Amino acid sequence: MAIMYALKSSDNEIFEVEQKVIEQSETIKKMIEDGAATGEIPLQVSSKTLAKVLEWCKQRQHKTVENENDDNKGKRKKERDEDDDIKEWENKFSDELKADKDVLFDLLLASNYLDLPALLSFLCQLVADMVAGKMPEEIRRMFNIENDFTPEEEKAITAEHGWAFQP
Amino acid sequence: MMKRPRLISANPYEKDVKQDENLGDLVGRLPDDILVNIISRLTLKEAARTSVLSSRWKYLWTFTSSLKFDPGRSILRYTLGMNPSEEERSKYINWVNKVLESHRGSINEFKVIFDLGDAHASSITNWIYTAISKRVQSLALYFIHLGPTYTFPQECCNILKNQCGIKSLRYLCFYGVNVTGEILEFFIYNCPLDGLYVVWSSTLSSLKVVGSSTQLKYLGINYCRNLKEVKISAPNLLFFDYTGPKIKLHVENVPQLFDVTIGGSDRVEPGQVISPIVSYFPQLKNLDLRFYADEVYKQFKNCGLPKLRHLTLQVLPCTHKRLFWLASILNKCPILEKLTLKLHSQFFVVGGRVIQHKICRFPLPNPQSSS
Repeated sequence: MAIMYALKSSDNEIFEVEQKVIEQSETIKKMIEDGAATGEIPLQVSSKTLAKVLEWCKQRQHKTVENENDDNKGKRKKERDEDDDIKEWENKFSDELKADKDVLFDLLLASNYLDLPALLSFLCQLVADMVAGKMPEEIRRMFNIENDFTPEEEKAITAEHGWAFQP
Repeated sequence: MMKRPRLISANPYEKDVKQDENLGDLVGRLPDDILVNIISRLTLKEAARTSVLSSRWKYLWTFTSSLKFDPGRSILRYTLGMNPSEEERSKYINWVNKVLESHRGSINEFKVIFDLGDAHASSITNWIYTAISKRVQSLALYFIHLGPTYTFPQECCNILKNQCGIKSLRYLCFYGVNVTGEILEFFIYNCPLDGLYVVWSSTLSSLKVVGSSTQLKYLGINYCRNLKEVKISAPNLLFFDYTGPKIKLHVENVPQLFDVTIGGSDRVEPGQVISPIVSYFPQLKNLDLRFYADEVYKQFKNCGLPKLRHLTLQVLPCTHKRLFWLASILNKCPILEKLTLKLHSQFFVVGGRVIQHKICRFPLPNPQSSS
């Protein structure tokens, strides 16, 4: 029987999760090891974001378990097919986050707080891909960044890093 | 990725309470180290452009962990023999100097790629010192230069030896940099190097990668025309790539070496390629042969690679009708899964085209009975 833990979101929703899945989070793993995790584990993460975090962890867990159970025979082909499946899953996951940037940034914070390096790296790359090739005005609009420079200040910075603004 | 020290210690969750106000500055909620993580994944130009977004972003880019000084499309002109003016060269050097001056924190990746040579030695040497003092993990110097080549100063090693930054270096690439075996061995034995690539170094005459302490996994030596001898005994080596003149190659204790790329000139004498490969690397899984001579492939008649799974061969268009020698190769590699043929013209790769045949899984058709 798998050991289950109850995670409590900041808005008091309970998530029952297998230990193996949630141990990917170094923060929670430490809490469990320290014996601090008896009963419900309260987390400073909203239920909407926590659901996404668990979606990610389950997908990763699924992959590791399957690889452990494989023998060598036929493994290569299976790996190739699996890679395709994971790519497809990740694309879907990315598209949903791109459409809801609020969740995207909450998830970034959560991955940092829960110490999930693979998710953090995945999300940082996702944001970097969204920013790449865009001009400052587009980036500001995309992420609601308020430009608090005066036109003169902005001009001075642009001039200082002239090389960055040339095509 | 290495964990960076937090730039600000604010609890990112303090602002979480406001999560219903989606109209606010979305990225503003993120701590600086996450923003720097994002910026480090952009090109240097894109990273520097974020300085203008808002006052919070003004200096964030100077913490980027990736300094890749990519001159863009102009580098293509130089590889085709059109040299930049000395003014363009100083402009590039100034760019690197200026960014390094304003840069703060450590670097994961440092890469310069331009038409520079020995005339610019003092700047280049300074870049190496700065990058290593910033605990660079991946250092790559690519110089495409017709004049005298930049020579890595021997005395540099003595200075670097006492820098703690040298203990972070994991990947080193010298392209168009003159180095000696002694210099390379300094890096191999003093850094936790995973990968070493040396290309177009005319001063390299011999290299020893020997010892159980070396954790080198990837070794590439290409076009070092005065190279005479290479000795390898590296228990962690996974990949070896050699292209160049005929050398004395001594290989032992490479239990994990499954990937090998070997190339050379057309004038390779038959009998000198395949049998040494077979005797040194019977465990090979992937082999990429960069020879054009049919003779080389005919050598497969005499010996085989029992564990080879993927074989890559170069083919010249003029010889494509004579691919019958493939039959003897297939016969000698009983568990081959994949054969890749790369089509080359005499001078250039034809549009980078790769012809790939996926061979059916076992059993292989008997080439002799089908021909």
